[in-house]
Amino acid sequence: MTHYLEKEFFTLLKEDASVFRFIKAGALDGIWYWDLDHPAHEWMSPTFWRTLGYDPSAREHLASEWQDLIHPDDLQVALENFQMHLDDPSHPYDQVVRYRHQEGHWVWIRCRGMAIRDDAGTPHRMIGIHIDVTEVQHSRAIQRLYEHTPALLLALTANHTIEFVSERWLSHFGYTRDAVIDREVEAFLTEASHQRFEADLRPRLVADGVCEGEPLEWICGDGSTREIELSATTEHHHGRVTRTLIAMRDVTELNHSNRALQRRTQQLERSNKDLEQFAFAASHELQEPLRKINGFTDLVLDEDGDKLSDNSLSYLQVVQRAVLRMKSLIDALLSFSLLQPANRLTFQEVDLAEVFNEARGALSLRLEETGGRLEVVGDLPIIEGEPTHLHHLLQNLLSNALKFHKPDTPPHVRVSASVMDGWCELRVEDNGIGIEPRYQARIFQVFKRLHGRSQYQGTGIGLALSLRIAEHHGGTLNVQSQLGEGATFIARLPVHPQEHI
Amino acid sequence: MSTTPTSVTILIVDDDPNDRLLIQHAWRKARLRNPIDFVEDGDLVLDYLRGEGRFAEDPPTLPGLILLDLNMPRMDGHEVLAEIRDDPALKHIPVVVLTSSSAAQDIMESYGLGGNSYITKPVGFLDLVKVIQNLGDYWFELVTLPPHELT
Repeated sequence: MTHYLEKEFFTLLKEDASVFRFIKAGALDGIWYWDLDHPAHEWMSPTFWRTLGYDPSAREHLASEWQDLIHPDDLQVALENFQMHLDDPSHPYDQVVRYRHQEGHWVWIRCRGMAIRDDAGTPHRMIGIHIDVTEVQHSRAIQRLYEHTPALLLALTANHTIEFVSERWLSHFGYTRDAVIDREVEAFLTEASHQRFEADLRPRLVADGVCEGEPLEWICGDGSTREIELSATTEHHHGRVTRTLIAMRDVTELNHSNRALQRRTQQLERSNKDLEQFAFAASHELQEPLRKINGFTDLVLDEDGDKLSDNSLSYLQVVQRAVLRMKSLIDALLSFSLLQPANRLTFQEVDLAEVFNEARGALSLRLEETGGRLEVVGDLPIIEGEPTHLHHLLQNLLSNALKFHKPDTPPHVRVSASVMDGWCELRVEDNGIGIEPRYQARIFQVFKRLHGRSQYQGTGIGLALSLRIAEHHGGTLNVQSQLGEGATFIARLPVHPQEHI
Repeated sequence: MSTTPTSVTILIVDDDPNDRLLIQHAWRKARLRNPIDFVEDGDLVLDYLRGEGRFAEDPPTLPGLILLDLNMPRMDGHEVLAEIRDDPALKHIPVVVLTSSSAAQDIMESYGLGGNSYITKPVGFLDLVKVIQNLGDYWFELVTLPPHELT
């Protein structure tokens, strides 16, 4: 039995064209009517074209018009279905296809059609309808995103209950879906975070519609808490927030290691400072008794020197030599301790040629004594650095090169430098006694010496100091040498040290 | 009447008896004839200069030059220097800091407080003699000290 309203409706539909026009305009995204006897001709409704962003009045109602806009892959599917439907009316002409919108993006259309056949079953016309399913496709994509994304995603309803969450969110915070959906978000925030959320975040979300990287504490399924950063954006409808989309970042470990790093940096800075002060104070305290030993031995020699035996006199001289030695060690220690850590250095342009000339001046006595030669090969560049430190560095290297010469050969020292890719390679090459490879690491340690003092004077601190200077500039100091074949010290220094420390 | 340089008393402030002894010997060896007085700590310097405490009975005449150590128990050298420079009756007296410290901070502070010179105590006795000799040449031969009778 047909309902009387259904019967009336279909009668109305036949008699009053405006009823059909209303349905056509409101309920469908396109209607088409195809002449299969002349397949070039196909009428397409104005909504058909408006859905795809085109002006209906400029259309010529040709099948080629839609065939040019449909995705080629989908045209294939549509034509196959079309053929099967013509051959067999029970095979539905029904597929989701993509049309290129006039603005360039794809519009997803569910396209259904039905062939109109004569009594012999031969199709002469075909009628079809379009429904825009783009949004359905998009929400399906978002659905899949929520299932597979490694991000911690969450959506809240207008009432701040949880609407949906990503799979990863559930596994990360240790909840089942049932345990969170429809629950108020407040239940997952610690007391302090809840207050912050209500007092600060919620009003801001209403006002700005967006927030980013807000730190909150989030309660997990097992009752533990995690530190998160929350970013959110709101959806509005008629000026009211309808949904809040949230992405969370778990920063618990990051915060933890940042805090640990900060603590350790502070501790290191403190102990560094303590050490510096200690070394400085210690070397001063060490000098005090030394001054007494020296002062009073001098006094003895001065006042009673003529009454002492030759032996006693020579013993006192031993004391004094030891004192002087101790004094130079303490001075070296002091200068080592005074070497500022890199972050407190102020760098400026330093002309290495000038530094070399100054160093040569300071070493002129030794040059004279040894009959040595000191020469620069090529040009020395200008680099950024701490002038006094670079002076120390070069003078130490030159002084070493002059000092460790072979007994019967005057020293010949060649200094050269090259700059490449922002690095200056400063080379100091000598013809001296050389260093066995196995001892080469040792020479850069404080107070390490390879020779007796009777052979070669020195405190054993020069190279340690030089290495530290190079490192404070973000550079390195190395040696290339074989025993008996001279040595080449290579300081690699950045031209702009600030970028390397 | 201006004071002859040799009659000017030098006040030496040092808490270390051995240092005082060395300075005394160096003084003699440098053949300086000025009388020297020693005090052992910062508090006593001010008593000495102001004729107070231990010095109240027989107030000493003001010294023409003060050699001041920095590291002392109780009031240290910098505090003494600040007090001297703050006292209208004392602020004209030249003060030479003679200390074992060579710390930049000490040097800056000494000059900042109005010290006239800063000398690091040398290690050797003969070097100390040289320092004393130079001090004498400079302060008692070369420079004009503040006239005594006006103080």
